[in-house]
This record gives sequence, structure tokens and C-alpha cells, in this order.
Amino acid sequence: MKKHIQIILKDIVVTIGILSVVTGLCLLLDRMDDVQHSDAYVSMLFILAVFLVSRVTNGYLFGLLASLYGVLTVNYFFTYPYFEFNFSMPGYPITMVALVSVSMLTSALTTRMKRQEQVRAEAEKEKLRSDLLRAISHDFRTPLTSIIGANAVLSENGEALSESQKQQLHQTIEKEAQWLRRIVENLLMVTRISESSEAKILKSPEVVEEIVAAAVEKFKSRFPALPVIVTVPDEVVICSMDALLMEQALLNLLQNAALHAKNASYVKIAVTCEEKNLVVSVSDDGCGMKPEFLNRFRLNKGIERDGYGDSTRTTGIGLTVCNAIATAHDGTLRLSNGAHGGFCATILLPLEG
Amino acid sequence: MDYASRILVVEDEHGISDFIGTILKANGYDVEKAVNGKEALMMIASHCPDAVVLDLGLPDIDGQKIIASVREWSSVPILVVSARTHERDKITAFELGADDYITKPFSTGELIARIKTALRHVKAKECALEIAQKPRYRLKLLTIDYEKRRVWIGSEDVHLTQIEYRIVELLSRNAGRVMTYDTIMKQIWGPAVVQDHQVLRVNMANIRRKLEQNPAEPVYIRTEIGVGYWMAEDE
Repeated sequence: MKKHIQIILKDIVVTIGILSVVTGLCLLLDRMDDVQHSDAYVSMLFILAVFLVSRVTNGYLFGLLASLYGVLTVNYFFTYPYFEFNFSMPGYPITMVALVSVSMLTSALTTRMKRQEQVRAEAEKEKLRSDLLRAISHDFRTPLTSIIGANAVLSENGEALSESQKQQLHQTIEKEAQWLRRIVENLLMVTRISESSEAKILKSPEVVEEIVAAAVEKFKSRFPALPVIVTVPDEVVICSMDALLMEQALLNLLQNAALHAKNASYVKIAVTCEEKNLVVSVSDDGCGMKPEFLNRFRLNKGIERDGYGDSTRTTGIGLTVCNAIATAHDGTLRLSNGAHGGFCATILLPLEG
Repeated sequence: MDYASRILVVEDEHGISDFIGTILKANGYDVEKAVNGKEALMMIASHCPDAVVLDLGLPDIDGQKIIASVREWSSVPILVVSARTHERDKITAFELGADDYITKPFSTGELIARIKTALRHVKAKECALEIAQKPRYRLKLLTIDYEKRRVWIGSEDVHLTQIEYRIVELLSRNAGRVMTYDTIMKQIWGPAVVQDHQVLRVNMANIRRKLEQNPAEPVYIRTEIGVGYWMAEDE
């Protein structure tokens, strides 16, 4: 609502500005050109003014007002009899029609252009969403197949199986179900981003260590085997964010380390403040990320499966969601491989003020 | 155990209610089931269960309304089990009087542990009425002496401010239960306090710096993101 009024105010100022400049210019030219009183340039200048107003303002109203003003001003100041209205001149209806047409046509064109821009922005957002959906529904199928299959084997051929075989099938079901759980959690977060209007999320000041602690605790309960090192500054750091989204982003980065960093002996999460940014980095000493994935990410193509079949389960949904969460916070996600091996993901968020 | 605790499971999804029922029976509880809100309210009133496991998304009455109406006349422990993960659902449930909130999916171990905690609370409350309130709280290295109003980590005296001590006392007296930001604010700063939780957050950060080894890996006071704080039960 406030934004709406601001736009209208801006349009009013712009319209008055353009019209005053043109009127002033015409009066000045008129004075210099004392003898001929040629009004050719006057009309042209006013057509230009009407064109400009229609182009930069929203909708039709300001363009129409400008053309009305143009017609009256030309009539009053610049055509005989001067400083007097005279609506019986022969060319008058033509000037009127011309100015109004210019205004209408320009406004129509401008409106259409703006709508197209909006459509393009919507389409980009839609693309992110559908990319994610496609990646996810593809990812649903594999674990579901395993779960249904393993369960069928257990219930149909239960007697024929050895204890260790049964154990293995149960583990498969458990593992795949946990995989589904992670995907569903992330899906939920995506709805949380798109649920909030204006594409921006609801931020409130949060104590950063609490968010980190929550993510670390969840991570520890799911992956007790990988040690976590947590460091936060001595002073209390407060930053505006959507707490649940940021917790999910950090959890994703931690889980990535546990799931994808081969040979990692630890994962480290560190909070620091750098000038105007909150910096949260999650690093490990594992195998690092394949350079082609890093490049894909830098080219903003998203990290999807590499198209070489289902065996590589490097969906990157976690990272895609992380990136979306960082972006929704006006922050960034940076990925890099360490010089001495390992992988590091860093989320930068504006600290404000 | 002199008699088996009776648990009422309110859940409309048969798959889930079956597996919860099986697990509870395997752990020595008596199980009753209700599949909708009306049935649940009726059974809580007539069968007096020792604890209620309540799903929020019931076909007839919203679970939150059930918590509210049960709390009008009964203090039976209510454990919410829900697929709703939004903090506002948790806050509403806690403020209406739910004892715990477990989000789906959950592990069976988690569920059993939380039911045990809730049942212990009831017993502790019954005892507390007889022996008056406990004089101290102990968890790992932390000791809180309510009479002396002092706090120790190991043998080291921790210097808390007045406000900090009252927050710690409030949380430890309600150990095992999430206290929402609003509830804590009202208890410590009075009912007229503004809706800004910032002052509580900053106090908590300071408390953690005095009690915890690493404030980002708290052992004593835990955060339920977007909802509130809670302390584990004492030993």
C-alpha cells in the first residue's frame, strides 16, 4: 500500500517536471523568436513531452492528463489569439486527436513492456520451482523403489532369507526413508519461501549461536559418527533472518559433509563477522567437490545430477535450497575446494546497521 | 510398576496409530485409540488415561481445540504428534497447555522417551504436593540451589544477575518442558511487557556464556527454534 502511494507520487512529480520544462522551453523560444510566432516546434515539443510522460509513468492517466495539458497550453500560450482560449481554430481537433493518440499508444506499449518484464521474472521464479520439483520427483522414485522392493522381499520371501540378509534389507528401508525425509524437509522449506508474499521472507533478529546450535544438534542425532567442531565469536552476534530456513540451510551443509565428503574425519562450522556480513562457513577435510559441479554452481546452473544415470546421487537439492535461502535473505552462498583438500561452503548474510 | 499406565492415542491415520500402539504395548503400556476429536474428548473424560498422544490434524475437531478444552478441566499430559512443523503451531500448542510437541517423522525411541518424561512429571507433581518443592536441581556439572538462590558449575560459583537467575530457575523448575518466549517474558518481566523477545535472547546468550562451555553447543539450556527454551530434567 505504502509502495503504491510512493509510485503514484513519483509519477506525479515526473509528469509535472517534464511538462514544466517543456512549457518553460517553449515560452523561452517563443520570446526569442519574436517575429514569426511559428508554433511548429511548440507542437512537436509537446508531443515529445506527452510521449515521455506516457513512457515513464504507470498506466494511461498521466499520459492523458499531459496531452490535455499540452492541448490547452498550446491553445492558450502559443496560438493566436495569445493568452486566450480559442476552440474554433480549424486545426484544433487534429492536434487534440494526435496528442491523445500519442499518449494512448505510448502508454499501451509501455504497459505491455512492463508486463512482459514481470512475466519474465515470474518465469524465472517458476523455473527455479519446476527445476526443483523435477529433481525432487525424480529423487523420490529411486528410494521408493528400494523401499517397496526391500519390503516385498521381506514379506514374501522372509523365511528363505538369512538373518544378515534381513538385517541388510531393513537397513536399506531405513536409509532410503531417511533420504526421503531430508528431501521432504527441504521441500517444506521451499514452500516457506514462496509462501511469503513479495518473494521476501519474514525476518526477525536472531541470536546466531542458537540457530547454529539447533542445526548441529539435529545433525548430531542423525549422523553421530562424524565429529562436529563448532566455533562462535565471544560476543553475542544478532542477525535478522528466518530462523527455521537458516537452520535448514546449515543442516543441509552439515549433512552434505556427512553424505558426500568421502574420508572426512570431521566437519567444522564457524561463525565470524566480517565488516557488514555475518559469515557462517561449513568445511570438512573430505574429498572435495568435483570441479565440474563447482563450475556449474558458479555459472548458476544449479547442481543437478550429472545425467550419467541414477547411480550418482549427488542431487544437490540441499545446495539448491541453501542457495535459495541465502538469496532470499539478500545473502550469498559460496562454494570452494580447500587448497589442501576438503570442501567449504560459506553463507554470507548482511548484518545491517 | 504397580499398574500399567494407560495411554490414549488420538490419530486418524490407521497406519500410524497401529505402529504407535504396537510400540507402546511392547513397552508395557495399556493402549486405547480414538480416531477423531469427539471420540477423544469422550474417552479422556470417561476413561481418564494417564497420558494422551494427540495428532493435530483430525477430521472433525482441530487438535489445538482439543488441547484447550481438555485443559479446562484436566491436567493429563498431552503429547502432540504432528506433521505441522511451523513454529506458530508449536507455540499455540504449548501455550494452550500441551506438554510436548513431536514432529513427524519421529523415531520410536524418541516417542517412548518423551512419554516416560511426561508420566514422570505427573508423579513428580504429585510428590511435590506432599514434600513441598524440591530444594535443588542437578544436571551434569550444574547445580541450582533454590533456597540459597545460587548456581554452581562443578564447585565453581556462577555469578548470575537477578534476572538471569530467575530465568534459570523458571526453566529448571519446568525442566523437560518447552517454555515459550512469551511465557518466560511474562513470568520474568510481568504481564505488561512488550512483545519484543530481544531482551530475553540477550539475557539467554549471557547465561549461556556463564554456564556452557560452548554457547553454540549448549548442554543445559536448549533452544526450540522460534518457540522458546527448555532444560533437560535433572538427575
